[in-house]
Amino acid sequence: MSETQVLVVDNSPVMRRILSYVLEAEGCRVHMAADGLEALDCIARSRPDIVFTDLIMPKIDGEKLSYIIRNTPELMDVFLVVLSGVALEDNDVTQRIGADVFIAKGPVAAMKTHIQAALERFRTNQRGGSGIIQGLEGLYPREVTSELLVSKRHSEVILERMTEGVIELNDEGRIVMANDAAIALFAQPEERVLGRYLAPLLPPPASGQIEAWLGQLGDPACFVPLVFSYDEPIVVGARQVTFNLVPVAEDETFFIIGILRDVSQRKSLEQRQRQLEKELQHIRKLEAMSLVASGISHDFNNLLTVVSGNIEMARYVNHDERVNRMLDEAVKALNLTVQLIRQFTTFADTYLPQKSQVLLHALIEDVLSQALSLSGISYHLACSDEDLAITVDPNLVRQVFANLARNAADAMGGAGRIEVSVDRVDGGEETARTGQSVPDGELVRIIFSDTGPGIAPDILDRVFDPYFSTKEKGAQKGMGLGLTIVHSIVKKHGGTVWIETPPAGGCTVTLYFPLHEATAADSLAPKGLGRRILVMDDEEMMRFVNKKMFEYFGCTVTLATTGEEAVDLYRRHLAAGTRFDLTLLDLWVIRGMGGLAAARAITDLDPEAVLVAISGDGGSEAMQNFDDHHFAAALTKPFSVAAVEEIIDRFL
Amino acid sequence: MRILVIDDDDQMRTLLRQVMEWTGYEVVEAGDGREGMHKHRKQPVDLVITDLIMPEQEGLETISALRKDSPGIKIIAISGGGRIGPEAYLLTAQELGADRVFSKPFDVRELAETVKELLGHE
Repeated sequence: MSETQVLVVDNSPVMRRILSYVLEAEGCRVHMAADGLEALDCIARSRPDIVFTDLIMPKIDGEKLSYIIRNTPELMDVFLVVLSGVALEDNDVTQRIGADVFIAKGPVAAMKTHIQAALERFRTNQRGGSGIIQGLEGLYPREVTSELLVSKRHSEVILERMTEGVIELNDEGRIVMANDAAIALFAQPEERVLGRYLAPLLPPPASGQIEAWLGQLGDPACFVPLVFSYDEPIVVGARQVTFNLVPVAEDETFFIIGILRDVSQRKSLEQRQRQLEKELQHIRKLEAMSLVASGISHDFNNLLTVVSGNIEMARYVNHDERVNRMLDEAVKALNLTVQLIRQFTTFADTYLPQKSQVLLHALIEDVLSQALSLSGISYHLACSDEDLAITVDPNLVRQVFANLARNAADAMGGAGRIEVSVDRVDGGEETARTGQSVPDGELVRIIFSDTGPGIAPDILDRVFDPYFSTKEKGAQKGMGLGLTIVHSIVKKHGGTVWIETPPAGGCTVTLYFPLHEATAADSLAPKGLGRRILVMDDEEMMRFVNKKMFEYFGCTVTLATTGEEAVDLYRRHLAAGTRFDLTLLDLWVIRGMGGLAAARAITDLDPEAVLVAISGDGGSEAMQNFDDHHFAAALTKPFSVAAVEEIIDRFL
Repeated sequence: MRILVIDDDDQMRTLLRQVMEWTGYEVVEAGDGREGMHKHRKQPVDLVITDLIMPEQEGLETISALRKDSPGIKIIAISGGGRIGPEAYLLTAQELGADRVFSKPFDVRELAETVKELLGHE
């Protein structure tokens, strides 16, 4: 029979000597350790058959050591004997520690008997603690010890409940204590963390920095904390962690306290904030363009009609081939100009999308086959569901894919491949997966990628900006509006889009559109469905345009030309129980009662009436101080669809 | 067949007149809706081409007045859009009784074809 290998762990040299004396007399081979950390090293060198351990020790204590032994597969069946100096005071110790034998420290003679008995139990393979503590006879509980134990537990609970990770390192940089939060950050079980060197648990460059710092701590001039601040956190797995390591002198040596804080959430919030700001900036640019676009498009359209009409007629009367060729060139340029103006009007905030149910697969297939028919570029379209339909303006969405196809074709220089995949995803999950702000709810995701050279990372942020182009500029080559239009259209539909250049090469555009199930009720944007609106304006044009805009949102609109008519209509509807939810009153009416008088009269009829002042002169006293005149809001003419939508959101 | 062209823009009016005359129609011009209505009442026309954004009488008003006056008259509305967008006007024009709507810029040949079709000429 081979010698029984025993490890004795106790910080008291006297106890170690007593134990080894008894055990060696029984024919055991005894190894000794002064604390839990040394014990772990001994165990790593040669696995003992029996471990006798004290409970209260510096560094890794007996309780943690027992926990590690019982939770490490290759040590699980080590015969564990716990010797406790506080057995009487610590009354649930047997429940916490899965030891095979418990012995209370007491008179040497009594302990000797119990050590021999424990050895006998090992030899006869009687495992599993009986829950009985041996050697309690002749011992009495000490009140001071009980109080100290309670206080120790209390401190431990505080440490465990902290949201910050707290670790203690010995002077070599080994972890001797780690609370729950720290263990969670290391993403390893406690038994795999305790006793380990800290540096290898962390990725470079942090690991190297820690090792270098530890190496210098012996020098009193270098006895300073090591800080991984918020600006330079350590990356542990998917998390970003700030880390403060503070050396603390103790007796002749020192130990180290480490505080870890998971700042990933704050970092990702900040990133999201930055992204939103970028989006906002972009929207502002688009708004400015939209204003210019709508302002000039009317004049341009007039002029272009005259130019093109006259060219057409000149071609009709002219019989000189050379002149006709020149006129043909002029027409080509003119057509490009017309296209450009059309694109501009897409930005106009007054543009009403003409939405309908669209089969996405068929639409993309159609656009790609047309756009790429004469190019050397192949494409492949994968759709999770060919009958997938979304509610969009088909003409606008066609523009999106036509622009993407044109950009990809230009980037690939006439040879390459386009891959398009379409599937359904959940917005929340996509936000979590990508870190981008994707709208919530059910979405259609379209991934459009090409095999071109991709876009340099430093300009990725700017590709959606108006007039930003990597291509050679000029009317024939494109004006740098393609992606701006893509962005604008996707946003108009409540979706989002971004571009990236994957490591594998090429360029990938990811687009999301809200998924509207194909139900008949889901037409247009019925925010104001069933709401009754009264519009009083003496300009016929404004009446009709306002009617159209409110009807777009599902409202029922009644029109009045003068204040008298509006008040009369209001009275009749109130009496009939079909009260108006919102009344728009033009302040200045050429013939008849104006909006101010009408507002007074309507408020007399119905103090709850919701009235909105409208006027071409936004700077007038009544428009500025609309609430002094019974109005809930004021709108300057002409107003946009967005303004109408805002009014609906606010009051309906 | 007589066609009334209503537009406040001289160049536009001249263009439309020439296209229509070359297509074979007699053309009456008016600078605004009021003048147009006046000319139509004096000597009725078969078809009206009217711009939608004009001073004086608005195009939309002209359309509903024409429709009321002469139920059988053919009306083509043209809009160039502007700060409120052409779509709203054109939709309204159609509702008020315009037979066809054109958004500027448009192809004059297409306009000529439409006029021929509305007036029943091959």
